[in-house]
Amino acid sequence: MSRIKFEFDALSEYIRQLEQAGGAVKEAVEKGLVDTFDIVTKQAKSAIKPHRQTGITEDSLRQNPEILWKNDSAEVKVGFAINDGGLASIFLMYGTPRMQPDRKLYNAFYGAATKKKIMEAQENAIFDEFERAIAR
Amino acid sequence: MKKQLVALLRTFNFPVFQQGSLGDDDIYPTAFFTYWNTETDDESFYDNQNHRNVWMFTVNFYCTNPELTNTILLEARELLKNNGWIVIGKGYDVPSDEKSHTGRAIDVLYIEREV
Repeated sequence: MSRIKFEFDALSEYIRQLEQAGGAVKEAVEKGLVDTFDIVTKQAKSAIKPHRQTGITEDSLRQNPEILWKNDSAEVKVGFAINDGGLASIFLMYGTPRMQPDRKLYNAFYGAATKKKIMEAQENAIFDEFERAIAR
Repeated sequence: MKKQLVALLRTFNFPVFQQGSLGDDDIYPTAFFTYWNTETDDESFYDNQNHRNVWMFTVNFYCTNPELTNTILLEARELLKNNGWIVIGKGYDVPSDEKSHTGRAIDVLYIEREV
């Protein structure tokens, strides 16, 4: 299981401007993390399907976002719960000497395209809230 | 670049395999490397031609001695860096099929210029 943070370049500046505009920063950040969760979970669900045997690993995929705040930073838990049957996902992502890695599964969490989608979702969450704030 | 990577890893006198190439019945050597080419991106476009390729690999080392798993991988890291490879971080644990072996991996990349 991973934790994905709400972060991108110039975030602190955007937050500052959003606060100045009277925007709801916490809500925007949480919206961005929920969108992040949806992106990654959808990709992971698609990537794990070819590996289905008992369904234990697929069933361990978190279905609901859990957002954690630590002071001023936030992150969302996403992915396969290792203690609930998700351990196999680690083997699948990295491979073993006897099993080739599944890069689609790895990229669902850590790929460049995924990182780009996450960044766009988080930026959009801030920009959308900014538009709402200045329209009020 | 695969050939170059394998040649460098072979200087450690341990077997080198592609990740996933050992058969179900193959016995793990005591210590060995595996590698996997994760991606090859093209970059630096000019006149509709790319002038650079970025080769990305994962290099894994498995061993029955956990301390050696760590030290050999770090030595491989230095060797690759000294030969023009870019190594990200100092490695991370990876799972092994066999309980007798621990594994560690590094992500490495090489920027190859198109001639």
